[in-house]
Amino acid sequence: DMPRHPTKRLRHTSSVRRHTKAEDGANGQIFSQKRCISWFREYTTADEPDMLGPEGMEKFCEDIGVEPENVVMLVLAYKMNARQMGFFTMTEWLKGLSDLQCDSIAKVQQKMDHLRNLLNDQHIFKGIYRYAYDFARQDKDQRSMDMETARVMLQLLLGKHWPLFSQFAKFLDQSKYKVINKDQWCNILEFSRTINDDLSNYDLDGAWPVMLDEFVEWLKVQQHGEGASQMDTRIS
Amino acid sequence: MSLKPKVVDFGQTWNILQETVKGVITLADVPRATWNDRFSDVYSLCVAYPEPLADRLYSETENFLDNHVTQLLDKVKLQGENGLLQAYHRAWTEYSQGINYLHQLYLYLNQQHIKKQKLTEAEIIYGTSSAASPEYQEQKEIGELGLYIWKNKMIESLKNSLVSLLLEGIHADRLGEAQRATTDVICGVIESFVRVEEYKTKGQLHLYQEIFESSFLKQSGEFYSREASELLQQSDVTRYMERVTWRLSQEELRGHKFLHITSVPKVRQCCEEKMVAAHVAWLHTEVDAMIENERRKDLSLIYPLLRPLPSGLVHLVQKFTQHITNEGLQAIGSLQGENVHTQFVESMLAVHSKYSELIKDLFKGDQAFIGALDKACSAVANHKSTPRQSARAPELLAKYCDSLLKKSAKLASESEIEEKLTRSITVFKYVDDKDIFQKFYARMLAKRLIHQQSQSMDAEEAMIDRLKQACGYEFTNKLHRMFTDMSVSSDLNTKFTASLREREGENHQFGIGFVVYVLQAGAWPLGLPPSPGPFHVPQQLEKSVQTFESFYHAQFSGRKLTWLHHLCQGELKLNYLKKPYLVTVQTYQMALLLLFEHCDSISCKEAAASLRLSYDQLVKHAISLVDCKILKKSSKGNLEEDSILTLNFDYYNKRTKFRITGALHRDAPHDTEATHRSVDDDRKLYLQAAIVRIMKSRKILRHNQLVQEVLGQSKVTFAPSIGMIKKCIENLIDKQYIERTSNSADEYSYVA
Repeated sequence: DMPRHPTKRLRHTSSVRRHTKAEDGANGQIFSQKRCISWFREYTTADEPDMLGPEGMEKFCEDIGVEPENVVMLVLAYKMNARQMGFFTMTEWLKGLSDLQCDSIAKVQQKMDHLRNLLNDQHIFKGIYRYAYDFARQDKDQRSMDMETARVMLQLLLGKHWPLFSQFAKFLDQSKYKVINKDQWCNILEFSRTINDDLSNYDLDGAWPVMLDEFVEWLKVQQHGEGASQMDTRIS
Repeated sequence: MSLKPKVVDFGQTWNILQETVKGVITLADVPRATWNDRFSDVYSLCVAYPEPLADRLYSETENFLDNHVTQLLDKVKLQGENGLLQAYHRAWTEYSQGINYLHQLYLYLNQQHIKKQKLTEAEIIYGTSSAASPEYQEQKEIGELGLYIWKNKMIESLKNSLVSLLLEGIHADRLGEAQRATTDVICGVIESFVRVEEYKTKGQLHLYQEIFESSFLKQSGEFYSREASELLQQSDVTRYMERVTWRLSQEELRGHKFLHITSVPKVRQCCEEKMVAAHVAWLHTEVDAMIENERRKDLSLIYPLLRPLPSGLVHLVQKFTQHITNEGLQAIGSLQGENVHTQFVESMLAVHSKYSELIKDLFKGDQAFIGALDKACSAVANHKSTPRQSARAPELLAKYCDSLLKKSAKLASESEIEEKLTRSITVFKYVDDKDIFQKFYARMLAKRLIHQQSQSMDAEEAMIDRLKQACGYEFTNKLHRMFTDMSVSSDLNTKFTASLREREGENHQFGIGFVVYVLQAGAWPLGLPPSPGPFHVPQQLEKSVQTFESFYHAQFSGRKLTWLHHLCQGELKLNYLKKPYLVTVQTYQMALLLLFEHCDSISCKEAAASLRLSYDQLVKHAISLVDCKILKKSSKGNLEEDSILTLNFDYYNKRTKFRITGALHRDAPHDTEATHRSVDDDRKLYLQAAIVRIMKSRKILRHNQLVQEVLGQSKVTFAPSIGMIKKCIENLIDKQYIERTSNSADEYSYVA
């Protein structure tokens, strides 16, 4: 899990375990499960001591200085393998934070860059992307994800890196699709990775889900339409 | 004469023998006795003692023939250019015959001496030690030897002059300037080129091809090219093709007259190349107009010209397909009116038979054109005016069949109807969406059967058999079951009546006649009765309905009966009018009329309540009775809830027995739509089943292969769109029957 270009500070913290206790100083001690659990309890209530809910989540985010809708929160959830957005169970918390060797606010904050860097690894990103589908789904009994959630999650995951994202979002808005299934979800990532922005390498006879066929058709009409209207303005 | 080997004086014997040889080779008169003696001399020399003299005899004979041919050559040469062909021909005629005789005179030498030392075929192929040395000169039988010498001496030295004279002669023949005598000479000379090598086991035609045929083809090719370009300048395409056709046949005749048989196809090919292939681009441009205007003569001329060229017909076939498609679309494009279905099918058949005839007449029934016709017809039959719409053919064709199978006033003979139905199969075969046809057909068949509107049950059955032949058992399975239900039901009714008689004696009557059809829900395309049910069965029918139900359940326990009253009808006798009438009405109408048993008028609201029909339905049925004047309504406009329906006591009709058409018999437009929708659902199920079947047996398959296999399986009954197949695939991925493999994006694997 070593970040590819660790800063000096990160290298320092990641080698924490090799330091002697005396050298650790204020920066922290060796990871303690007990400390980790008691930290968890700071965010839970007496009614449900083993479940960190929306209110606890808000406080947790505030403590570590990250907005809840920041993508890094998704990576953290991925690390914990959290089942439901907005909630951490104690088991999930303990698993994720033991892996990261974090038992305090300061330690998690130090891991932030590392967590962000995970997004740059193609393979891990794919894992996070696929995880996000199950994580963000409201109703786990339904196999598909409602379009509103899908839009938000796609924006979060692909919004910055996929030049066609805004077009795709527009397409979804005008389409008849109310939900997205997992196959469509996974193929949107493949599409964003493999298809040129001018669509020149898209094969309509290929195995792409019909939704993406329709997107390509739609986009071609849009682009053609734009071209035509430009022509019109030039003539007038 | 003794056959025993003896001492022979070679010189003496040869001198005598040589005289006779000279006589034989020049066809002089050789007496029988002399012939016999010399024949024996050949024998004696071959078996001479102490040494056989066969080799010496061979070499002396060779020398002799050599000299003889040299002398002949000089003689021929003396005749000069003008008489060369004739002189050569004369010498050849004599020599070829003479050498034949000489061959027989040397029979013993040939048979015993030369044949034995000849290499066998196996030795030629695999090689022997003796044949290995290049100097080895095999001895030839005397006949062969004579021809060999002729070839080397005579032909080798004269070939150039001979061939150019031959070519001139044949050219003159082409121009019609040849004389009969020269023709024979030319034939003879050409034949000599073949004959001198006939004894060879392989490469027999080598000499002929090398010295004559190649030059001949070259010269002919030049002639054809010249003629073609002259024709092009002078004549239109028709004249041109006529001339080329004529030229081809002429050259074929000429080939048979002068040439070796193997040259004939080469000449034809050469002529085709120079006169057709070289100008094929121009011919193709002419083809467009020929087809456009259906110039039969031109088409019949161009077909045999283009056919021999490699892929020569492609353009013609393409244009032809396009033309038929256009004609077909035009024929069905502007159909209007009540009997669109008849116009549609008959126009399609007219187009089909017109072009089938044309293909038979002009293109000799060529498969390529039959294929073109099929392609065009299927394009026409499956034409969609907009891509979203489905083709009209399935529905129209089903309607057409319905109109033929239904009882109608039009008196068409049974055989005429049979023939039309048989012909309709031609159109049926072109229809892609056979499942849609089947849905419509089933609906119409159901109506015919339930309302006893079929013209003849035999005709119905024959038609189902035709469909079965065209499309298989699966396709007509439901139709067959519908058919069987009818006959089973008639048995059931007999049993029912019998059981009643048994139980209640002769006075079992309900006071009404009663016939029930029991139809399997799975086979019949019948809708459930309109809600809200249950419809209140008129009291007069109640008893019979109940009795039948208990009878049926006693017979088949566990089966569920659903009454489809909206499809039933009854006959009512109207006794309250001046004369009695017998009216056939739909059950709801009957129920409504029966309400008037106890009163003369009733409000719509009340009527609806007591029949337990929705208000809309009541109005629908009431209007039909008002329209035919059996009932009267109180208000002028539409029937309102409080409108009063009154029995019309002044009703009059010329006929005493008639039917009131209910809303049922008119085909509502949503019927068509519903049919298309249910076809779509069936297709999705069919495709998903097919995909699962294929994936189950193949485990892993690429996207395109899967699509191809699905298309292959479904083409018997319909042509699914790729989009539909893809959606079904996605559906199955979602349901986790299959999944995308991790190594490739367009590959699926079966999830067990």
